[in-house]
Amino acid sequence: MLLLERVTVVYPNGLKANDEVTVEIRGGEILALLGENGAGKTTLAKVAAGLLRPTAGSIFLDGEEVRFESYLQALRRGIYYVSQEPQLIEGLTVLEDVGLTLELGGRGRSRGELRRELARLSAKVGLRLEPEALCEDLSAGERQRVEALKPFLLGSRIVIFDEPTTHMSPLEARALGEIMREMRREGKGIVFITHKMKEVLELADRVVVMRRGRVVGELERSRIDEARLLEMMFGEVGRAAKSKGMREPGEVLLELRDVSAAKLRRVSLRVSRGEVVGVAGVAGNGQRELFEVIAGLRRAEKGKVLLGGSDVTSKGPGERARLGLSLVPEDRLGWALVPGLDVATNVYFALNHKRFFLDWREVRRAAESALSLVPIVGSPSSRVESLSGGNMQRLVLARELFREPKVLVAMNPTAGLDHATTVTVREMIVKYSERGGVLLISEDLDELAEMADRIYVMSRGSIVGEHAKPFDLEKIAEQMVS
Amino acid sequence: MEQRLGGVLAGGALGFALAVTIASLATGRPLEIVENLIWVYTSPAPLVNTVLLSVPIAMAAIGLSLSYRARFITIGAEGQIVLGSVAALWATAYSGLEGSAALALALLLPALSGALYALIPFLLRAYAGASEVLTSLMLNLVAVYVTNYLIATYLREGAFVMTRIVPPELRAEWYLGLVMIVAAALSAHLLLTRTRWGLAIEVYGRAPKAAETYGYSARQVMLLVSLLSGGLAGLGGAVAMLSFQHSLTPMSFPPGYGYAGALVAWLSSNNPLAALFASLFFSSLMVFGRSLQAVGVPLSYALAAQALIVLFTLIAVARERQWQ
Repeated sequence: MLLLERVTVVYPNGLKANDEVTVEIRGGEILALLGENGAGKTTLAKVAAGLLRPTAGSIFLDGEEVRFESYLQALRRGIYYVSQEPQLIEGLTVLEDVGLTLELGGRGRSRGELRRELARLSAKVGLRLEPEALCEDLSAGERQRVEALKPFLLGSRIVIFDEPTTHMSPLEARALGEIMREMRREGKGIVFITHKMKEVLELADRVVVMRRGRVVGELERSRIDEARLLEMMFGEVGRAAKSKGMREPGEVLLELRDVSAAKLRRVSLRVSRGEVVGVAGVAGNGQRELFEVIAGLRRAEKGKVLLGGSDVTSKGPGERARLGLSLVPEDRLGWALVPGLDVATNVYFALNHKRFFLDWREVRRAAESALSLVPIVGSPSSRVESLSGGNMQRLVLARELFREPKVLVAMNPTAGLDHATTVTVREMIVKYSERGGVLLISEDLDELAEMADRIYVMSRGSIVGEHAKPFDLEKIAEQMVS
Repeated sequence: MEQRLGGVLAGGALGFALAVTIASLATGRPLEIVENLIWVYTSPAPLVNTVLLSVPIAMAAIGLSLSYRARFITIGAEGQIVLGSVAALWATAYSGLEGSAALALALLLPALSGALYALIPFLLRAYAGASEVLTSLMLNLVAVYVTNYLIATYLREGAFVMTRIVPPELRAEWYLGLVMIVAAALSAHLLLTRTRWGLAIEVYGRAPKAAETYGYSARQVMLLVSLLSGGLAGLGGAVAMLSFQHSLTPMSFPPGYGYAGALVAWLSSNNPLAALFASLFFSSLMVFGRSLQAVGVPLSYALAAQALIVLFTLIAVARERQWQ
């Protein structure tokens, strides 16, 4: 149906995001576009959807060469692109937002008609949708759902999903898979961009693997196999972080007793030396508040926080750091790291030495020792925002482990990172847990299953379950959305 | 820094060209205007005036550059300068002290009153969440009107509404101010680059959340920059009083050194050393603007010319920032 031929995209900063990429999208088929972050998948999708004009190359729709000057043109020719973080229009209801898209796509209809059709459609694909809900109140997963319905109403022939499951719970992801299958039954061509192997194995009829802006391999359904795909993606056999063996946990290092604050309701948990304890949950169920309460950024209204046996409930972050708490916040730039300062200063400031005069040679030495824990690309004097996301996280982790903490609390430490960095980060955390305790708050259930010794499940601010190995992931996923 | 300087020079030159053109059109005597410009930048008298005027501006700008680096956007230097000059006047002409004791008090008291006055916006921000931009701006007016009241009542001397005069033996030589602003700029620079306090300011200003997470207290940082900028501004007011004001008359609006200081801090990217030079540049403009009156340019033209030069300098600097 749609053929992208020898598409090359060079960004103004000189980055060649697509290098002579040729991909064919066929009707009645789910095509997975697989690759690491920065492989050029989104760039290619944007070319197909008219959001980006290629530097070179051609696009053929049903054999006829087309040049999309805008997103609107592509939309009217039956191509629908669902971006990674759909932006619905704030202030409109779901019904109005859908109506507006249809209007733009030349398929406008009356409000009543649209309401009936939407109800019929959501019943058909098994999606609950509140047409009168305001768009800004929807979660990221719900936004994806609204977006997923639009191509049916638009009559789009080609639908491109750009990493749609990033913010979805396992159940939501499964529902989306059903929608894609329904689209396939209707003969639409579906492009599914992802870097998650599991999703590819479940859904794809064909896989195109990209690396560094080029297509490095293509496999039909019958020949899809994980090892081959990993090899294509990473250029070598992709390694997965080794889960450690069972170990007897030592003394309790971090404990929360019946803590209530903001969203949190009577949260109790403990982390002992030698274990990685996971907190699973769908985003927005109190994980951020939990992190803040432990960090000392948010006061516990009720209950107690204990660190290494001493009560730190009324202590600030500085005091807690001195008692051996290390933090890896979920936002790297601005929370873990300070933009505008160099790498060395970014290491030094968090060590929070009490000495009044700074000795820059010592600052540099501290930075170099911390960086010896993990190789990063970038010198101590380079600005921290010039580092890639992966290197920033390596830096944060190196710094936090350099402090020789008793407890490390990390929130979504591998979100948005490529495979290689993800492996490094997980290995560092697991290795550290031999010496201290780790609390790992993560939305990625696979990550928790791989690393954790125990998993707490959080939902609506409460701990609703505690699981030991071997984990029953189905059960955990169920509790997450309870 | 280097590029910034280029921008300042280019913008300033353009502004000067325009100002000279306007003044020439106003008077029909372009030659005299240019002569005047050269005189301002080469003769001792106007240069000394430039230094004198730059002191309150520089002291405010140096303190504000620390404050703005911590993203504490106070514009209270104006009121702190006014209070500083009142305190210096009281210490020299009313306290009954003489000699070095009077001089010491005339520096200590203004610094203290500036710092204390700066505490108010800090407290309102830290404990009530009120924006320091608005509270400090309002407090400038309070300082001005309280001063006017004092001039009309407790400090009043003789039949007219005016104060006593700083005794000649307690007046400061012009270079005292120069020494003071150089020392202040160097100290502020060292504070920023060599001390834990400076690090806290840099970290908090760029990433407040990171600062708090890793143990730097927001309140401590805000308190620190409030006290420092208030104290410096108060001292600036004191030196202005001791070196060229010598007495006070009622003001209908604030004299503007503090606002100029805020502008200068911005112009110099909150770099205390750059603020030193930018203040001198700024006050030379004021001297040039005033001197135009001597060759028959109306005051409003002179002020407009001065504003044009500043405007062009700002545009040039802003453009460079955009490209970086």
